[in-house]
Amino acid sequence: MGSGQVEATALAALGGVLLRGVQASDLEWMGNVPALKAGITQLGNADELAAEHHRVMDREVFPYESVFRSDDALMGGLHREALVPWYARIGLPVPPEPDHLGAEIILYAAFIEAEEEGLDPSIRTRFAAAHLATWAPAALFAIRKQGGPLMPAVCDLVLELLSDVLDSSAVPEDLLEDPLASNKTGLGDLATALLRPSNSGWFLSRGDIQALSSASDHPCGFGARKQMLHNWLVTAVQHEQVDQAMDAVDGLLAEWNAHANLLNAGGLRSRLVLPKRISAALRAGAGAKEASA
Amino acid sequence: MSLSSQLTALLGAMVNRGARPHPADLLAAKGSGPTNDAGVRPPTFSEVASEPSKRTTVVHPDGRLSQYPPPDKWHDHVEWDGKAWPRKVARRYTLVPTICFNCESGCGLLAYVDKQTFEIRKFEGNPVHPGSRGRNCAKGPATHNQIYDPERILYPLKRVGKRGEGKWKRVGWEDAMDDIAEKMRASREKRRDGIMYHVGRPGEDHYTNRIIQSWGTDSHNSHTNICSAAARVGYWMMAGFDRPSPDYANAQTILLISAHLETGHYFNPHAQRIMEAMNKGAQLITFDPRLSNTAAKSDVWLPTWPGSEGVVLLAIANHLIQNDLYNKDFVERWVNWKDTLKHFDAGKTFADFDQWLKETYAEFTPERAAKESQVPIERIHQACEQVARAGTRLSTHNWRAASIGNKGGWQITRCLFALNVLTGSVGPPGGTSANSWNKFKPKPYRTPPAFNVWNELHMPHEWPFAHFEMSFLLPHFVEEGRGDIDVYFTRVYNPMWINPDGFMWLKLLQDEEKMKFHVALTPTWNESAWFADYVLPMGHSGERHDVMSQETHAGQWIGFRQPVRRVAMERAGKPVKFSYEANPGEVWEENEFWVELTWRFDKDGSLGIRQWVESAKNPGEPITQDEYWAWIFENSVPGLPAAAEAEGLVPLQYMKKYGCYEVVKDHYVPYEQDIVGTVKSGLVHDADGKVVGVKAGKDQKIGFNTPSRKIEWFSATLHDWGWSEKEYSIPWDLKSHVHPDNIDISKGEMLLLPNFRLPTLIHTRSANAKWLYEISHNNPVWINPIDAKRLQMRQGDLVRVETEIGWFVDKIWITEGIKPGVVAMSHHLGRWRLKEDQGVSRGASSLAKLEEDGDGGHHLNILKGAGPWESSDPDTSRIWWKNVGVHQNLTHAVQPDPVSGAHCWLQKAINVRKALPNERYGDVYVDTKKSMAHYKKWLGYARSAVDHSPNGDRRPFWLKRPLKPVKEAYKLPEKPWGRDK
Repeated sequence: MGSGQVEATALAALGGVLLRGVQASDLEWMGNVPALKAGITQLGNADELAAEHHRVMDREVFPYESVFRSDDALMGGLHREALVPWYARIGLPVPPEPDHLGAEIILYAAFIEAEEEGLDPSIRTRFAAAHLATWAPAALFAIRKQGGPLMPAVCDLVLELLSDVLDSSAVPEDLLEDPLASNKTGLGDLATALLRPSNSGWFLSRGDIQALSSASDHPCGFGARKQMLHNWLVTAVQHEQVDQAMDAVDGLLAEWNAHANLLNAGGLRSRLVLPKRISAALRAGAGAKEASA
Repeated sequence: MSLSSQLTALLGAMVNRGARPHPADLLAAKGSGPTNDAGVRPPTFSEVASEPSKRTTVVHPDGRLSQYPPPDKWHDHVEWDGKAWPRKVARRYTLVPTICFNCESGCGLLAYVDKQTFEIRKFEGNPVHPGSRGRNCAKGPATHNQIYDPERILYPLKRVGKRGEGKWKRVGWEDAMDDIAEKMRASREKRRDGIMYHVGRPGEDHYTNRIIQSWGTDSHNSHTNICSAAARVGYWMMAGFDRPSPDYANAQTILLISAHLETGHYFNPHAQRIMEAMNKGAQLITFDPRLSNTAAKSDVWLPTWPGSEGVVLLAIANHLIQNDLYNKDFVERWVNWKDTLKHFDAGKTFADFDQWLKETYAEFTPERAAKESQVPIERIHQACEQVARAGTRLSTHNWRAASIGNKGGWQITRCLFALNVLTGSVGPPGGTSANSWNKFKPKPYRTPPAFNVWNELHMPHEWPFAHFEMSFLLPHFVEEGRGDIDVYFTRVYNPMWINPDGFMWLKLLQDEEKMKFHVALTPTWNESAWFADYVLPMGHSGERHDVMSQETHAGQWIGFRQPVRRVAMERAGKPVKFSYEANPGEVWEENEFWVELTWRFDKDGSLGIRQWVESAKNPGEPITQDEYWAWIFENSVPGLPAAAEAEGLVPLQYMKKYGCYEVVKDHYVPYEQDIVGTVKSGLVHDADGKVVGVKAGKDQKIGFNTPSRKIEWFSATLHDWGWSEKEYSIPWDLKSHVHPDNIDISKGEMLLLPNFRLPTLIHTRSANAKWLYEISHNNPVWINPIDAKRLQMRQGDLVRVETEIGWFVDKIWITEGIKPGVVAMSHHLGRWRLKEDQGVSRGASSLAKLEEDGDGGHHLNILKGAGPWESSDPDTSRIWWKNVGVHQNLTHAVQPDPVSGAHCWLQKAINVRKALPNERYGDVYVDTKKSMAHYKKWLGYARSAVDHSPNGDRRPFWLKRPLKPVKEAYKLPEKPWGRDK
C-alpha cells in the first residue's frame, strides 16, 4: 500500500467515525492509536460511544456544508445539491446526507484511492477548493471545542491529515451583507449574524454560548441558540457590563483566530473579522453611552 | 504523546488493518435507500409547463358546493401553486387517497404528492369517501404538519444510561428488532402473560390484534377504561353492542349527552349530518354543564349538574310512560318484558308490564329532575315534548362524557338508550343503531387460535364486567405486587400523561425490576416514551397501511390507509420493499414491523407463531402488505371484487386508487332479519344447537346479541353476578360520587370537570401540529362569575385547585358558560419536556423539572413555557404563545367504577382558592401515598367474581373482550390474588 493510499484509508476511517460514530469494526484500529484508545476506554462501552457521538454531532454542532455556508445557516438546498455530481464522478452512490463533514472526508479519501487507478488529481483539488476546504476548518474546530474524551483527538488527526488541503482555502469568498452597516441593527440582528458561520466564520454551539455566559457572569437562559445569545447580550447591556461580555467574546475569538492562523485558512480568517468588529462596536457603543451619561 | 506520533500510530494501524470497507459502505452506514427532507427541511416541489386540470363540482346534501379533482385524473393532476401567487406556477401531482389517523372517525384524505420530488404538498378531503364525503376538520389537513415536523423522531433510538436520563443512540431496525424479539422469546418460553401491548389509538380494525393473538399470550391492553368503558357496559348489558350509531341526517330529534363527541372527537362525519338534519327542521337537545359550541347551537340546552343526567332521562322516560306516548308495539316485540315481570313478580301480560313501568318510574317527575339537575323545569318539559314528538326518529349519543365521568355512569347510558327503546327508535331511519351494524370489519386472513391464559394485570377478578382491561390501574396493581412485565409495548400511547395519577406511572416506568423492558412505538415524542428503552418512530396517516371503518351513518364502508409517498413512488415505477424506505428518515409502519418482529420472535417456527406471518405465495418468506390486503379485498369485502372488475381493476388496485369502498347503504333494523332454525324456549337454534335468533311475535328473527336475543330491560347478568338490586338490574339513576350531597361548596369544595375536549386537538398527539397549536394551546380553569366573586378572584388570576391526592395551579377564565359550583378544564393540554432541545415540541410544551421527596411526594414545576426556536421550518421561529396549559391529570385520583371498571373522571376538588405568591403557573404536587389509599377505597366498592360468580368463571363469557381467550381460561384460579391467605 502506497503512502497516499494509507493516508486515504486513515481519512476514510476517521470520516466514518465523524459520520456515524464508532462501530464495532473500528475498535481494533482505534485501539492502536493511543489518543483514540484513551477516549474509547474512558467512554467505556458502545452505548456511551454512540451517545457521545449523538451529543456532539447531532445536538451541539450541525456539521453540514449547507449549515456552514448558506445564508440562512439551514440544512439542505443548493450547497447540498452541489455535492451530488462529485459522488457520481467516481461511481459512489449519493448518501442521504452528502454534505455531512464525515461524508465529504470519505469522498475526498475515495478520490485519493481512485488516483491510484488513474483519476486526474486535479479533480480532487477542485473538489477540495469548492467544498471541503471552504468549511472543514471551521467545522472541525467547532467539533473540537465541544470537548469530550474522543472527538477532539479525531478532529486533530483529520486536521493533520488534511493540513495541506486546508491551506489551499486561503481565498476568501464574498462576505454577506455587513450587519453593522445599518443603524437599525439591534442586538437580535447581531446575535443572528454571530450564529451564521457564513457571516461570522465561527460556529457557536449551545455549549459555547453557555461558556461565554459563565465567563462573563451574565445569564443566557434556555432556548434556541439565538435566544440564548440574545438574552446574554441584552443582560450585559442592561447591566452596563458590555466590556466584560466582550472580553469573553474576544477570548473565544482569539482561540478561533489562532486555529485559523495555524491552518493558514484565509476564508475562515476573513470571516472572523465580523465578530471582532461586533465586539468593538458594542464596546464603543457602551462607552459612548457612559460618556454621555 | 505528540500529534505526529499519534498520526504515525494511526497510519501504522491502517497498514496493518485487514479488509478495508468500501467508501460506499461507509457512506451508506448513516442510512440508505430513498428518503426525503421531512423533519429536516421544508418540502420542495417541481415546476411544470402546463395548465391546471379541470375539477368536478359536488353538491353536498346540505346544499353546499365543493370542487374536487375527478378520480380518473388523480394520477396526473396539475394546479397553480397558491403560494406563488401572483405568478402562475403550475405543479404536477399524483393524488393518493389515505385515511386520517388523528381521531377514530376514519375520514378520507387525499394526499397531493409531487410527481418529481415525491414531497407531499397538502392533504385535502377525499370526495368519494362515504363517511366524510370530502370534508375534514382541522386535524386532517394538519397531518402535513406532523409529517414535516422539524422535531419528529426520524430513526429508531435506543436508551443509553438510566431510564429517563435522556441519552439516546440511533440504531438500525434490524438490531432493534433482534434485541426486542430475543426478550419476547425469553418471556414467552417462561410464561404467557409477560408481554404486554398497550394501545392508545388503534386506528385500524384487526391487523395488530391478529398478530398479538398469534403470539399465544394474553398481551392486549387498551385505554378503553379511561375512555368509553362505562358507555360500552351500558349499551352491552341492554342490547349487546358497545356504542350507538345515530342516523342523524334523518332524525327529528337529536339528543346528546354532552357535546363531547360532536364537537370534540369523531365530530366531522357526525357534525355534518347533524347540520343536515337541522337544516331540515330537526331539533337538537344537549345535556352539558358547559356552554360548548354544540350547546350554543342547540334548541334546548340543559346545563345539568354532572351525574344528574340519569334522573332527567328517566323523567323524560316517565313522561312517555305515564302519558302512553311510548311505542308499545316495539316494546312488546323486542323488550324482554316477560323476564322482567317474572323477576319482579309483577304479572304475565304486556298490560302488566305497562302497569309495572308506570308504577316503577313514577318517582321520576319533572320537578325532581329539575331540582337534582339544577335546570329550569321549563327546559325539562321542552325536552320531554321533543323526544315524544320524535317517535322513531330519535337519534341519541352518549360516549365519553357523563358515562365516563360518574360513578354509576354506565347507568346513564342505559337510561338514554331506554328512550330509544320506548320510542321504538332502535335502528330505523332517523333512529339510533348499534355501531356493529354500521361498521364494517373484514374477516381477517387466517385467524390464529385463542390463547389459554388470563393476564391478572389486565382483568383482575374484582371487576368481572370491566370493558375492557383495567389499564389505568396497572401501576397500582404492580405496586400491590400483583405481577410484573417482561416486555411492554406502548403504541401511540402516553400512559404517564394521559392517565389519572401519572406519578404512579412515572414510578412504574422507572422501575426496571417490575417494568423490565419498554418499547415505545410512537410517531412523536411523548412524556412516557422519554422513559422507554427503545423509541421506535411510526408513521402518521400518510405513512402506513391499515384498513378502517367507522359507524358514521346508516351504512357500512371500509377505508384503506396508505403510505402515500410509497404509493406515488410505485406509480412512478420505483418499487419499495418496506415503507420506511419511502417515509421520512426511517419512520416505519406497525404492520410491516409486526410481521418482521414476529418472524424474529419465532425464527425457527418452533413456537408455532411464525406461520401466521408467513406468505402463502412465497412459503418461507414473511407476508407482504400487498399480499395481505389483496387477500382481504378479494375475499373479505362483499361487492368489492365486482366493483373493481367493472373498472378493469383487481380489488387491491381499486382500493389503492379510491382509498375506500361503500359496502352497504341505508342499513336499518338488521335485528328484524329472518332466521331459520329450531325454536326452544323462545330462542332459535341452528343445527349445531347454537342460539342464532329469537321468536319475535310470530316471526323468527336474528334479534340482538344478548343472552335473550332481546333488549334486556332487566339484566339477568347483572343480577346473577352480584348486582341484584333494582337500581343496577334495570335502567335507573345511581348517585354519583360528585352528587351535590358530596360537594360542600361552603367549605370551599367544588366539582372539577376535567375532560371536555377541544375540536382541534388530538389527545397528546397534537404537539407536532403547528396549525392546531396556534388555534388552541392552553387550558384555563373555567369558573362561573358567582364562584369567582365568592373566591375574590379576577379574570386571569392564578387559582390553586386541590384534589384528593394533590393540587395544581392554573389561570382562571371567568365565564357564565360553566355551571356554578363546577370548575372545568379541557383535556389535551399541559405538555412538558425535561430537556430543552429534545422531547415534546418546544412550541407545545413547557420545560419542566420533576422532583420527589422520597416519601411519596412528587412535584412538577415549569421552568419556562413554550417559545420560538430555530429549525428547518421557519414557522417555529414565529411561535408567539408561551402558556401551553397545566398537566392536571397528574392530580386526579384513580376512581374505578365498581361495575364498568371505568375511571370516573369527575373529581372532587376539596379546595379551590386563589394561589399564594409562591405558587406558580403550572405547579403540580401529588402525594402518591394518598393515591394508593384512594385506590384502595374505590377497590372496596367492587364486587369480585370470587364472591359473586354464579358459575366459577371470572367473567360472563358473552361479554366482549378485545381478544378473547378460550373458555377454559375463564375459570377463576384456585388462589385468586388477595385471597390466598
